[in-house]
Amino acid sequence: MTPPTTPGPEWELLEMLCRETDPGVRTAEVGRLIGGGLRWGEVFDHALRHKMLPMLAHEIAESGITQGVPIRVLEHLHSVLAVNRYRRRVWYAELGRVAEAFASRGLPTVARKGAAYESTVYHGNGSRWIGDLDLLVRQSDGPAVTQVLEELGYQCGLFDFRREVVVPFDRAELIKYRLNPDHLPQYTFVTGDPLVPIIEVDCATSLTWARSPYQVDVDEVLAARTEVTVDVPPQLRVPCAQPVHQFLDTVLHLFREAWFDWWLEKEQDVDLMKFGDVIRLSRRYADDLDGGRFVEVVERYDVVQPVCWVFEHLDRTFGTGLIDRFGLAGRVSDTFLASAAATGAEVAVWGADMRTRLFARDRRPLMART
Amino acid sequence: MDDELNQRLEDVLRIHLPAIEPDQEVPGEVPLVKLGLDSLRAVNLVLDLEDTFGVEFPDAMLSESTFSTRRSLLENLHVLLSGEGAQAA
Repeated sequence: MTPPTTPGPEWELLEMLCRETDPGVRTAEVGRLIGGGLRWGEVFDHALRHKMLPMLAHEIAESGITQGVPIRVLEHLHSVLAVNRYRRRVWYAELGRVAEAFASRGLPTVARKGAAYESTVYHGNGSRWIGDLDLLVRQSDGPAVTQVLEELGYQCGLFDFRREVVVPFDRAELIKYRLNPDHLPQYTFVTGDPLVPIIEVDCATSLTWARSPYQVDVDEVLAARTEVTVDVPPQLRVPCAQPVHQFLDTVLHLFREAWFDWWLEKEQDVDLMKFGDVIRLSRRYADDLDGGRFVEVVERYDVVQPVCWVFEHLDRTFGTGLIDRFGLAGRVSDTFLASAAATGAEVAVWGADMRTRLFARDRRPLMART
Repeated sequence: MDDELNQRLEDVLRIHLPAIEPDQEVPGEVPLVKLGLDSLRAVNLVLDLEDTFGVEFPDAMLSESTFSTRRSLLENLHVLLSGEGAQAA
């Protein structure tokens, strides 16, 4: 069967989960959509591409809806949720080990992305996709950080699942990291756990990218860091950024992954989960962000443009109202909203709105290059 | 030696700078970024330079300042070829 070319109820289901509506409303909507009959292959395809399979599994499990869900689909979703709940325990234990080792050497760090808010914003219920361990460190600490990781048993490179070894980066890849020092090369730990065979640590040294016109003072973010308690068990404390910095980091991360064209070739262009992260953080941290507190930081670092790029797309796609809430109306042009940073001297422009882009399996035809 | 080094550098640079016309010399002081050197081209430039000159840029030299202009690149190649680069590693 040919996949649908326009969003249908399967897509509507995922967008609704992304929006984080009231639980009662959500359950009713999930029931309505499932009751109307869903193509589950289509649901799984989108959920996988947008890293939302655990969230879908959690929603189905929590709602108690079984009518209209094929038994094999239900079994698989239960399995996905169970595995993700197990993964988070292994993942947090490792995060605790790494964070403690960094702290003992006087290397300030904060957890980023899922590592920072899986246990709070997503309530630690296994619904948030678990990927790499994402950390923020000072660029000047890079050599010391890599030394600590190596002492902990990490190897610089990526895991080859067939050969079951970590393959070191080649010379070209290492040069790329050195010339673009916004991230350290990725380090991989082979756990010996059959369900979570590896854990990858991704250390950023910038909230944006090397030579970006948009820069945030990493020293300030690290100096103002706080901690969050995670019940894995055993209980552990994870260093993370203040809510206002955490939110800004999440917004700028979305911008980076949505604005550069090179993610298209890597099949890592922006996904629904990242928009969902911003929506959830904007609500969870409302007291820390509102009253001009977030905008003050945005103005001070002169990152109005990328922040508005993200907020405008969120508002137009999900009806979030963030531009008005933060008093940022009229600060960004439609030309900038359609723009992309292309590799080389080309100028790249998106010829589709964000929903069409997110829905598309192959997004490359939606981008015009001149 | 200097002239030969300079010419070989010119030959390698031309491959990676799309904004340089065939009859145009690579200027010494213009930022290479303005001549079309993006991050992907920069990686290939380093690999080509290492092949051409039989050297390996140490980590400390793999920085924006080394590749900012033709002149800065030439100066760093001088250091590498004279063997002083080992101290920068």
